[in-house]
Amino acid sequence: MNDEELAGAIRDFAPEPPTQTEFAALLAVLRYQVRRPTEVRVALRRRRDGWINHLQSAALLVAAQSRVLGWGFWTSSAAVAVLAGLAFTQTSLTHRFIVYMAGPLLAYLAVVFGFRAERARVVEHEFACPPSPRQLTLARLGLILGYQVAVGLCLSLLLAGVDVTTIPTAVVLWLAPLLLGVGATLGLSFAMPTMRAATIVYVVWLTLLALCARIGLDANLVSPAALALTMAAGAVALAVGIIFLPHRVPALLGHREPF
Amino acid sequence: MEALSNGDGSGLDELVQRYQAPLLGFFYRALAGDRATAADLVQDTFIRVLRTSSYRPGRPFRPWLFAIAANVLRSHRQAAARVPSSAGDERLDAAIDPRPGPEAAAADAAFTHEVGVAIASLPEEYRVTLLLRFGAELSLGEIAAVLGVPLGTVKSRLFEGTRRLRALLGNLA
Repeated sequence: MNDEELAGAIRDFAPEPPTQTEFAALLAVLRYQVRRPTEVRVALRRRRDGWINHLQSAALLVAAQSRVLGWGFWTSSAAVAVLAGLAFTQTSLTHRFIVYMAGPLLAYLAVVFGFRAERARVVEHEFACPPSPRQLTLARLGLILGYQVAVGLCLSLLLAGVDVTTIPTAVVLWLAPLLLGVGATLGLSFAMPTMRAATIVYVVWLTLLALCARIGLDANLVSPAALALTMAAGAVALAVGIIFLPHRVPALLGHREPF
Repeated sequence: MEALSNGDGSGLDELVQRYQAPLLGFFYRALAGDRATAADLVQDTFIRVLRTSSYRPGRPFRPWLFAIAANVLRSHRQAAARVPSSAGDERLDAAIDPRPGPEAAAADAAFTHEVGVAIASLPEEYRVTLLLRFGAELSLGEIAAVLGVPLGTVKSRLFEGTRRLRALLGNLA
């Protein structure tokens, strides 16, 4: 028996072709399996196919996350940014303090809106999203902080008449307390509910500002060294919080075991 | 396939129309003529196709499909190995048991039956390679991609598989 005959023998060992009934039955089963995926899943699939789709998927993800946050967040953040932007145009220490208070307030708003699912007991639903909890949190923090910093900076600079020399000051004044607020909240949230952590951080920050103003250390608080220290501490706290975030997920979901 | 993965079921009819019979043939030959189980595995394969997102548009579909089919077959065999002897074994016993039929009229049928039994008695790697080559008619390169082995391994499996199958069928040739 040569190879051709052997191949022919294998081919001849064939089943009866599928009947129309079998075809219809299989189709019925498979149609049930075909479901329209969520837009997040579509975005994730597209991301794998080149940088244009990568951008499209990122835009879809941002759009989906934007809708999750709702109008309340965008308008309240913008309102705070407007007020602080107006204060930035003034050179007095009191007004600088207002800007300094605005950053953590935005961080507080970010946490309140970004983690409201925890209060609504739907955080499991949100974390069931295909990206990991860390990716989801990073995406949301990036979106929220990016929006707040961008709005605050633009307003500050526009109202100050776009003076190039004020850009570093504006960046630091906005970013340093904002980073510290978010980082400290994320760190504290390992030990307590997120909303409580956000509230404590903001109250402590306001108290600190008030104390500094009271004992005359307000100028020191907005000195370049203090600002740099605040910013570094915030960045470190944020990084540590993000690194250990997956360990916090079981607590959010009500599990005790490591995730 | 892209439309299907996006929830558009319009291409499903064509997909099933085109590949139901080849997949049925693949499983039927691998299972020594157990058509009912083969039909079940065809369904499992299509369901995996719809659920998986590993297909890349622009790449050959057929080898990708048969890679899934080979995985389904492997899973089925592993599951069958864990289950104590039952209906599945009885079917295999029936296939292995060479029942004598009306000799002249059933000569071809007997030979075909023997082919099925011979294929079923081959080790897994030779059987799947032979079926992908001669049943599904994939190229050697496609088989290498399906099984995730080097081309040389496919060639040697094909050579050894045909040698063993020829030896098993030798007395009928």
